[in-house]
Amino acid sequence: MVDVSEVKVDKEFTKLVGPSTRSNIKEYAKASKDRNAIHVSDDSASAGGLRGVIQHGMLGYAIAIDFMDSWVGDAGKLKSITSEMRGTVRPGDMMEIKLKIESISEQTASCTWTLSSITPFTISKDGEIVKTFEAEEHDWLDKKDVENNLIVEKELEEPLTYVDYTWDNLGFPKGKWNETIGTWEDGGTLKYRYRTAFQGKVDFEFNEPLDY
Amino acid sequence: MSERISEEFLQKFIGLPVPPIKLQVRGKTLVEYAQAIGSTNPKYIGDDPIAHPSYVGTSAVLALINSADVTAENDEGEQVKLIKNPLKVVHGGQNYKFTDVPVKDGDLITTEGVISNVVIKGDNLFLYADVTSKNQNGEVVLETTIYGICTKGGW
Repeated sequence: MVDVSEVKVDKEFTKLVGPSTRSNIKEYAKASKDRNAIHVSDDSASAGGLRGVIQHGMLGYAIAIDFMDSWVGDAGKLKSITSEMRGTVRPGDMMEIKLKIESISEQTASCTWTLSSITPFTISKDGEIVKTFEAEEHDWLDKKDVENNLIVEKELEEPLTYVDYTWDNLGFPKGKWNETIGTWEDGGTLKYRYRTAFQGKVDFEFNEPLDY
Repeated sequence: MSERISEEFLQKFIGLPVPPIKLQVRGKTLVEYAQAIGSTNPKYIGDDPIAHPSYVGTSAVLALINSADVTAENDEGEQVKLIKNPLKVVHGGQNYKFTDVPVKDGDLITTEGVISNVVIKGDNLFLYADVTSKNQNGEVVLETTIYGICTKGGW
C-alpha cells in the first residue's frame, strides 16, 4: 500500500509482472469464462492471422487493476478507470505497469497508467545468438515495431526469467505444448520489444484529503 | 465480408440491446479468478472472499461477444449479423465506474445494456457497448463501456 505522504503530482509508481504463460492464460479463460479460441488455441489463433495465441486483454487489464488496488490499499479505493488497448501481450512477455499522478483535488488523485509488454527475442554474446525465445521462433516481430523503434538491446545485468516451449510431433500451432520457466543468469545482450499494451486514466478516492 | 456497409444500416444497431449475461457468484470461483490474475490479497483469495474489482467486468466482455450475434434488417429485408467472424474481433478497451457495493458468494449479477456505437475506421469496425451490472437487489455493482475491434474479413 502506498504511503499517502508519497501521493504527489508527477510521482510515478511501477511494477513488473510475469512472464505471461499459456498456463496462466488457460486458467484465466476458465475463471473468466472467456474461452475465445484466439486465447487458448494456437491453431485457431493462427488461422485468424495472429501467429499464435494472445493473452486476453482483460487479463492484462485485471493485472493492472490488481496493482492499482494493492497500491491504494486501505488508504482509499478505486473510483473509475479508462483504458485503450494499444497492443497485444503474448506468452513469454513480461508486463510493466506504470502509474503516474497527474493531479490531486481534495481526496481524489487522478493518474495516467500504462501496461507495457516486454517481449524477449534473443540473447547474444560476442555477436552470436546464444538463446532464442518463442517470439523470434514464431515471428512475433511486427514491421510497425521496427518502424516505431520499439526494438531495444540491452546488456543483462540481472537474471532474466523466461518461458521455454516444446511441442509434440504435430508442432506449432496444431500440437500440444509443454512450458517451463527458466532463469538466464549468463548475461549477454538481450534483444526485446518494449510496447504499450494498454493506456488509460484512473481516479482514486482517498479516505482523507491529500496534501499536495 | 468487409464490403461497404451503409451508414444507415450501421445506425440500426445503435441502441439495440445486447443479450444479458447472468453471473451466479460462487466464493470458490472468486478465489480461482483472483488467483488466475495473480492477486495475493486475502480479501479476494481468503475464506470469505469478495470479488476482485475486475471480476464483474468479465461479464462485460461476454456481453460484447454476444453483441456480435445481434442482427438488424438489411435493405433486402433480411436479418443480418454485423459480425460475420467473431475470431476477427479483438479487444479494444473499456472504462469502469466502480461502486461501493461488494460482490460476494451467492450474488446473482445481471449485466445488460445496449450497443452504443458502431464506427468503421479504415478496414476495421469498432463496436461499443454500454452495460450495467446489478446484483439481485438491483444495486449497481459496475458500470462499463467496452469496445471491440473487428478486423478486415470479420464484418
